[in-house]
Amino acid sequence: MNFNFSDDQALFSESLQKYLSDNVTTKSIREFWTDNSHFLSSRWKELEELGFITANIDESNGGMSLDLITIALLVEKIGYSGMPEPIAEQLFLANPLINEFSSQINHNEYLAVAHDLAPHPNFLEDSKQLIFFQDQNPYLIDIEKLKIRSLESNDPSRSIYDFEANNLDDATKLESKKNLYEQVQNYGMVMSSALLLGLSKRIIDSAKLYTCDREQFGKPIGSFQAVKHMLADVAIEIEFTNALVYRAASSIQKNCSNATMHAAQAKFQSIKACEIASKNGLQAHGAMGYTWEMDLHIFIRKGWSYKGIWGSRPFVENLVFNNLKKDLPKLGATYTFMDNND
Amino acid sequence: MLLLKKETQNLIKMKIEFTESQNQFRSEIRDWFSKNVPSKPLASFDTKEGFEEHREWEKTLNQGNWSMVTWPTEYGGRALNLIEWLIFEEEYYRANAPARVNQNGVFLLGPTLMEYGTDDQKSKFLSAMAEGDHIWSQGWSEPNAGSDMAAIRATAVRNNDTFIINGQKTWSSRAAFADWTFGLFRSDPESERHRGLSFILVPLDQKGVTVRPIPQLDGEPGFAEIYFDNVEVDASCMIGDEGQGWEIAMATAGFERGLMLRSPARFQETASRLLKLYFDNQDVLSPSIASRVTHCWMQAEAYALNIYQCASKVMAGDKIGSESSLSKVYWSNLDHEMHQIAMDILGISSELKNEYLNNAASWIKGYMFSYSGPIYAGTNEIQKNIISERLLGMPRK
Ligand SMILES: Cc1cc2nc3c(=O)[nH]c(=O)nc-3n(C[C@H](O)[C@H](O)[C@H](O)COP(=O)(O)OP(=O)(O)OC[C@H]3O[C@@H](n4cnc5c(N)ncnc54)[C@H](O)[C@@H]3O)c2cc1C
Repeated sequence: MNFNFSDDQALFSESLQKYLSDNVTTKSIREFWTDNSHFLSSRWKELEELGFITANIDESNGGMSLDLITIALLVEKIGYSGMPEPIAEQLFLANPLINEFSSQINHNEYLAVAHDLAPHPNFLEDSKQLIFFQDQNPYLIDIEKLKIRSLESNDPSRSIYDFEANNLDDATKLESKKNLYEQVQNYGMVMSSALLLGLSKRIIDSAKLYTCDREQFGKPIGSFQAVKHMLADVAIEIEFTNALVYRAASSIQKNCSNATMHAAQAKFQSIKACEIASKNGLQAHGAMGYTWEMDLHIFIRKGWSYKGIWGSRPFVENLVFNNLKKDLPKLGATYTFMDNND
Repeated sequence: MLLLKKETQNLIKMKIEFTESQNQFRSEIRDWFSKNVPSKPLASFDTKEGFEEHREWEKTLNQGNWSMVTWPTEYGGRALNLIEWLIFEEEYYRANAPARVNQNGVFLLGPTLMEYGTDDQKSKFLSAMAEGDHIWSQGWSEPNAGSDMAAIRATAVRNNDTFIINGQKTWSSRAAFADWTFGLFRSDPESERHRGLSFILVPLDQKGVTVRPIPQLDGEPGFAEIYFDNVEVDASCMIGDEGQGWEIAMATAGFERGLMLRSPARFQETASRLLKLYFDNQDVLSPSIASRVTHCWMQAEAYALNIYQCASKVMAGDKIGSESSLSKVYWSNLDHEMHQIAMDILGISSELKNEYLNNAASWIKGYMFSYSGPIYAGTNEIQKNIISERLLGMPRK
């Protein structure tokens, strides 16, 4: 049992963080909003060359076979940066499917994924293929074979689409021994949790900076106890999200019998953290926080989207509740890391 | 692009599962508890009779070398790590073993002695503590030094090889029946605030000590006032140096808020009991109760995972400082919410102290006690000051 990141894991994520803070400025995000809705292919290429995009592709296919805990850490950094490009989706949703269907999928391109929990794939026009589920069965289809319509997200960083297959015969049914519908659901829950965790950290950091700088009554507003306690409440919820996200990633990686339960718990807590971060973080900025001009909402908006997709609060709460009902005798402190497969 | 070559990697990656030997350790404890935990619940340790029953239990634990598994073997421990301590605690609560009457000693003073004590002090106090011969109380608070602990006025004046202690401590848990107290005293009469304080151990049967028990909400004397009237204490009872008291006390308080005192198993067991209470009564309950119960169960797990993460950090050589304030607010609010929900579920029987249906009596006792969680070990408001100023770096003034 060890909850520390190895030097390797830490270094790898720090180098991503460095790249993101140098390159993904809020200015560049705003440019993305006004220029077009396609992702910056130069940025995608750079991240590809640095090895991030294929980090969890199998070594036999030119990746690094990185474990999902490290990937969750990377996705947290991506959340923190507010980057529009769907690297999180590539790592969490596409790459595991590419590993499984490497002969069928063009793995040099971004692969879009649609699921009942997130039916409007992000950046569909920038991908060549889509994996979607029909009656919980997975299908692979070329984008040309789809009728697609662009939708407007409340987060201009998300370029989302509605799609319709003209004919299911245009798609290939993917055969797998696993329940891919549930697997993608779990990956989606943990991905969105890691993103929300990163976003929450970004929001509290902005609020911290702002409240140390802005003065009223002749002193920084961060010296007022009401403001301090508001942000302390955020820090507490964030603190108790971290380990839940890593455990969920670990349980998925190990194919643990409780993976769904653990993913749902991580999602529930990360929604809670991001919600209080957004509410209190904005409050600490006063009216300035309520403007389009202030960068704060770039991150808050992303949170709004990822709270709803890949497992909304009622959805994950029901998952947990129904599991508790079913497993009543197996509750309590000795079962935190339990795996029925053992 | 791997940043480090395979050979030079720190190979200990995050690994969220128990080792084979940790699982074996778990079965060993489970087995021991199944044979040794008293079949009948002991009387409350805040009564004279119950206190002595709990002292006996401390002795039993020590006979099995279970008093404090993380201590070195020479003091009756097993030299195990913090993860193993967490496993021990999980089994402890699973077995429904009696509460630790000596928690101030084994969980708080013990680690403090380990870090700041001399060899003589360790050999004099640790074994007696493990054996239950010395049951400890804490003496920080005074009538005018609560949250503002640096306002302490009780004095310890050095007189060659002794200190002469005068003043008053209050709210000292277990002091009504305890053998010793540890606390902060002003050893430099000219000093102010955090300076000039020393960390001193005082036997409560010493001449000049008067203990006045104070009944708590449940009517039992869970804490006491302690008066010191020219009490003579050997200088060898000071931990660390003269004037180093504040620093040492902060380390002890850190153990109390975080890792040591409030092990997650306690809250996880309460959460599971609450779920059972819910499912036993669900036909007559509203949906919001299901929701709140589910939230609490998740929070108890979140707390446990966080503590495993903290334990991993400590084992890797990091220190847990102000982070323990995050835990303290979290567990105390969770504990209150869980008991509040139980009261909501019990409804008309929630006032019945003798009602054994649904274990109402134990929920009521826990409910009352849960009101104290946000106060003791430093109030939650003080913890939030610490979080914002020390962890977030917000301006003090
Ligand atoms: C069950 C129980 C067991 C205890 N056991 C022990 C023990 O064994 N040994 C021991 O020494 N003490 C013990 N205490 C005492 C405990 O440490 C104190 O009660 C605590 O530190 C608060 O001090 P106080 O009661 O004087 O409250 P006060 O300091 O008077 O505080 C009253 C209220 O004002 C708030 N407040 C005070 N200062 C500030 C501030 N700067 N900012 C914001 N809010 C503030 C507090 O948060 C609180 O809500 C125990 C208390 C309880 C309830």
